[in-house]
Amino acid sequence: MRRLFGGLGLGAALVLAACGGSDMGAPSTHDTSGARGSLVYSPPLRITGMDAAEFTARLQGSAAGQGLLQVTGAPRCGVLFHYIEYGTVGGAAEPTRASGALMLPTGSDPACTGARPIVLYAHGTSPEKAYNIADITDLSRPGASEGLLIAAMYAAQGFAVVAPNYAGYDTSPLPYHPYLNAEQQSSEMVDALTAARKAMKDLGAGDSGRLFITGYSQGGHVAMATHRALQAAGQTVTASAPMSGPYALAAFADAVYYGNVNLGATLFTPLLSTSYQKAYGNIYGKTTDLYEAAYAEGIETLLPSKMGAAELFRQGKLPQTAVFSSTPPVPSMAAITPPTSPADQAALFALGFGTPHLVTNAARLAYLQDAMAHPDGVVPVPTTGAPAAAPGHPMRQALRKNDMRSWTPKRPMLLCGGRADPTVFYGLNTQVMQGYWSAPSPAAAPAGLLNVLDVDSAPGVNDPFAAVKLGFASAKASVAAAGGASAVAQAYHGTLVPPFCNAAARAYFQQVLASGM
Amino acid sequence: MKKMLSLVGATMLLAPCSAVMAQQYFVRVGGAHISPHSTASDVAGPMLPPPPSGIGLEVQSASTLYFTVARSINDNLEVEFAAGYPPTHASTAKLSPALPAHVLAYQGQVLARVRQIAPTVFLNYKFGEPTSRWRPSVGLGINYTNFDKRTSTAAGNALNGGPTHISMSDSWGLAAQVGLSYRIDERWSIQGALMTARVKSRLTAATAGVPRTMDIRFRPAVFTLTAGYAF
Repeated sequence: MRRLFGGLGLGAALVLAACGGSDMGAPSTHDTSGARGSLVYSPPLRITGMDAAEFTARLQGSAAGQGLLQVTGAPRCGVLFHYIEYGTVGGAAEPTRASGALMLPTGSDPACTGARPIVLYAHGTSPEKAYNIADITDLSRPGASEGLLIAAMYAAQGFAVVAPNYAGYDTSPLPYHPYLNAEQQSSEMVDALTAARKAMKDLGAGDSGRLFITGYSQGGHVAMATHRALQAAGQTVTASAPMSGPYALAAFADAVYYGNVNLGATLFTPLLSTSYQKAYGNIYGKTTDLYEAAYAEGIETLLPSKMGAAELFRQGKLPQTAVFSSTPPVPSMAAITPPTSPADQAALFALGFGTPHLVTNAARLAYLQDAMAHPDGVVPVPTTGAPAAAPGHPMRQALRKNDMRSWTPKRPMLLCGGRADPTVFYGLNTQVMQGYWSAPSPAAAPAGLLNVLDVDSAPGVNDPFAAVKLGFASAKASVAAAGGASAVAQAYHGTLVPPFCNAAARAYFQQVLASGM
Repeated sequence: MKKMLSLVGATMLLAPCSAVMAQQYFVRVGGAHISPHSTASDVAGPMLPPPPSGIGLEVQSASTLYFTVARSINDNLEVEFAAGYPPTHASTAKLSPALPAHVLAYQGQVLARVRQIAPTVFLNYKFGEPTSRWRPSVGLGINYTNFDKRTSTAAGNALNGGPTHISMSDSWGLAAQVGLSYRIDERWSIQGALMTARVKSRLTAATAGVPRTMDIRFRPAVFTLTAGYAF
């Protein structure tokens, strides 16, 4: 009897030893330091992975994918899609975290193995907080189509791709996004790159040390600011290719206030104003100083949003296109409320005016009075080409601080865009930078370093980008055939130009690699 | 665990002491074969294919050492506390055929091993007399299940996308059993029983801090064969 109880006692002891936990079955680290460039989880999550054949099949499975394949060419490499989280800073240098993608080429093709060059990619504006460029599993998710584009364009052709989602997006705890804050955004790009390089080391992926920087739209500005920051820090930049970005930000914003309102301005205005308010604190005293009362409340936390743009407009959180009142702030400004010239853009500019509108007439007037007192070197008339030396208006000071007319690249750069872009004006940004970096400008870059590509132009003789231009023309023609000029305008910036500029950027990077520059 | 034991204690204390003469203890030791009959919801969470993800699990059978201690209340009723050496179950991938080939490659592979501790208290009714050679019985009880050790395998880590930490919630639920006892002499007997229980657990698989969850229901069939000793 004693023996039996003893046996039972042993059993009970075994049962009570139930204090175990979980075994992950492999080593991993969790860096909670929050330090800039720290990789929070290593190895990072691999969302999915495909070999070259599977990736090709995946692209062939949708109309958008088939179109993309024609521009990117068939994948040579498989791609592993990793999700990285890293420590970085907010717009006021406050510590925070953000997430992004690390896409690694795989496969036996010599272009896919060994030490790979890195493409550091900056994405375009998204109103959606859930934006995650690493998650390509469902193309209806925000960020998925841009992620698939860069995967097919760069990773499937042998580049390791690092693409941050930006602070304020996805799982980042930052309650706003430091939109077009050159210092923050370039710092974050560098932090994402640092974290991604740690991840590559932990995953056994080779890094050739060659670094290419590119990005589209907002990301074009970010890519250029990142090239500038790395150059200033004496670090390697092999080449860069900013695309369709608002580089000459002060000139561009002045033009908008002069009535040249771009498509998308009702989203860009609160993103930009909140970003600079958080960074500099002096954009306004209260939100009604800038915004009409119908929109002022809660606007600082509106974007990035759980809703998409269409839903934001539908719910009346933002007007769809009207930034300014149709009533001039003062009678003398009637001619720019809205402007009627140039005639081919009058209809676009007119969309920026109406009822209800976003920005108060008082705010527009104060901005324009400063713009008239301290004009930009490009707007309203081209003079020096440089930003205003000493603007007095806090928003114009902030824009000047983040304007890219402030440096000269020392490594090859391709500026790509489309001349008829209704969202980020080509002439006011790409061509202004081209002028700023060309003789006789004091900031002129060495000959041959800067290349400018307008995908919406006719191919020249021996044009290395002839295929890109012809492809763009064909894509534009098919959109025009289906929906006319307004469909082209709607698709131009967000859909038509990106694949072709990215194809040009890739060809440019491959050419720089081949030349050994 | 402490809570559970005190519950057992309480149950035993509450047992009426009417038939003093019939009060007896039984210890039964043997083996158990557990067929979990699990059904799992498709795993859901960030960065997975859109729901339903088509990625599920099936918990496989296991055998273990089984023992119970019972105390009779009267000639026909007894309270039984059942436990066993915690068995470890392999959990295999159950994947929708619509998933891409590189995911389907994991079909049927062991993704995780989970160890469960599932003490159960039964109130059994035994037919016949204490002296009967054969005594069928039925029992109703309460089961507590704790998944105390969870290991993600190399295949599990690969499918999840990295080293994965698995947690599973505890479960409380009804249990029932039918049994048959064969009396050898006044001390020794042999019992066979088939039992089941309602077991529900939420499994969370966290890979690099990204949690994905699935709900698993078990309708286990546990077959036990034991040698009993009365005192």
